[in-house]
Amino acid sequence: MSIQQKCKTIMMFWGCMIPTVEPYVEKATRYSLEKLDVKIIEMYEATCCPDPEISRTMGIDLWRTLAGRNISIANMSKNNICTICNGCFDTLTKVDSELREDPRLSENVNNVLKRYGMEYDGSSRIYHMIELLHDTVGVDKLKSVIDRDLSGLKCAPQYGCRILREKSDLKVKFDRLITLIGGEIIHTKTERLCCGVPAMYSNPDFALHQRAEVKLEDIREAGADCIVLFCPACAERFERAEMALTTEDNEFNISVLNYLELLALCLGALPEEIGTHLHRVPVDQVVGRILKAK
Amino acid sequence: MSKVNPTQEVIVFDPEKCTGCTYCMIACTFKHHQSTDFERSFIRIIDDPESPKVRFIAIHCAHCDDPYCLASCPVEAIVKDVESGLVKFNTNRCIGCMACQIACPISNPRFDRERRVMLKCDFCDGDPQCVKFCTTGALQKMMREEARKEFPKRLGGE
Repeated sequence: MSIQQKCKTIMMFWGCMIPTVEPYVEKATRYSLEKLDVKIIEMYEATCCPDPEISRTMGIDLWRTLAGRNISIANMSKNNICTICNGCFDTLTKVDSELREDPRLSENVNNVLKRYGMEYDGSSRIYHMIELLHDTVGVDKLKSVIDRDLSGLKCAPQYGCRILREKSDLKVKFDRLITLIGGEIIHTKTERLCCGVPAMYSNPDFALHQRAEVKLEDIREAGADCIVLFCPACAERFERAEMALTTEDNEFNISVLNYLELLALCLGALPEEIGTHLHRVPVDQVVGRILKAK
Repeated sequence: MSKVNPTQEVIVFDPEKCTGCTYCMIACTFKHHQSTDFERSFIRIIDDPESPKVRFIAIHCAHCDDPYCLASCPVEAIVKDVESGLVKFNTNRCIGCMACQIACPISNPRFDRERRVMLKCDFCDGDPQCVKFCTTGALQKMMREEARKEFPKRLGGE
């Protein structure tokens, strides 16, 4: 069976943030993938990926072992993995390639896993949701099933550091996915700038004012209607930053939407079905505009 | 006699790839100080908002062929390792006079207030954590000769 055929069923690695603080992303994903004929297989007993920042810095062996354990759940059930979070994607793909390339490392990980009746064998492919939508579902299929489009909604994409690697084409595919559903991409001067998540662990003020605030100001100045992203960590950072920075004289109110929410709305979902009202920074205006579009 | 060691490894920074995530600084600080306070990092990412294309500049030790810091040290606390080419600080000898910081073209050595000595990049024994943890590949480790060929290309030359 080819990878493409196999990926019509996919084991979702939701990560920590989506099920706990951004449930609307999970709902939108489930809605969208069902409409796109992709069957989700649950990854029960998954742990945190673990995060590629602090966990990896402080204990690289533990980081590798836990990630290897998560991947082994898919290996053992003969599934491929898909993740929406850039951080999870980074951890899982990095560990997967390390374990594939270095038999000593995979042996170390498996020595731990076998105590729990588990084994990493490197048989699963790890997809970013961008790849799943763009390559596996395919651009033509997506075009053919959308009920309504964004009608030129001005979208400022937040790519996230981890998909801006030299050899990655995820940025290009992300842009294509936005235009595919009728969004107008607003490029900003600071689109490469990090949202501030890693710096938050070290210096929260720096992360807020030198990263998130700089970006939010720039996006507001560029006249974008919303920020569109995949990474739940970037989304959380922006919404929290907007709340922290908003004063009587300076309101941000920039809607931060996951691409999958926009996609679900374009595929016919009702806002209450996916829970867009749960955003910390209201998204009603943007959602209202999408609903009015044909 | 030339002091250039063509096989010496150095850290090379590509400003067009940097997103300013500061992860290199966190990884460096944790490796050397077991802390995440990136103010103590041996690599510093400097932000220049007026220059959007190359917004960030990384300031890090170049382990120079002919180090100014070494020449300026009054107590011979700095040596250039012949084999690896790395410029190393002996903190047992250092008196914290900061002459090395003044002499360095990029003022890289830093005075550590806790230990009262000068500190700088030690190349993490050949496995620099800043390079290892860089999210976008903006920091790379390469041979000095290779880096010398790479640089004119990045500046728009052949």
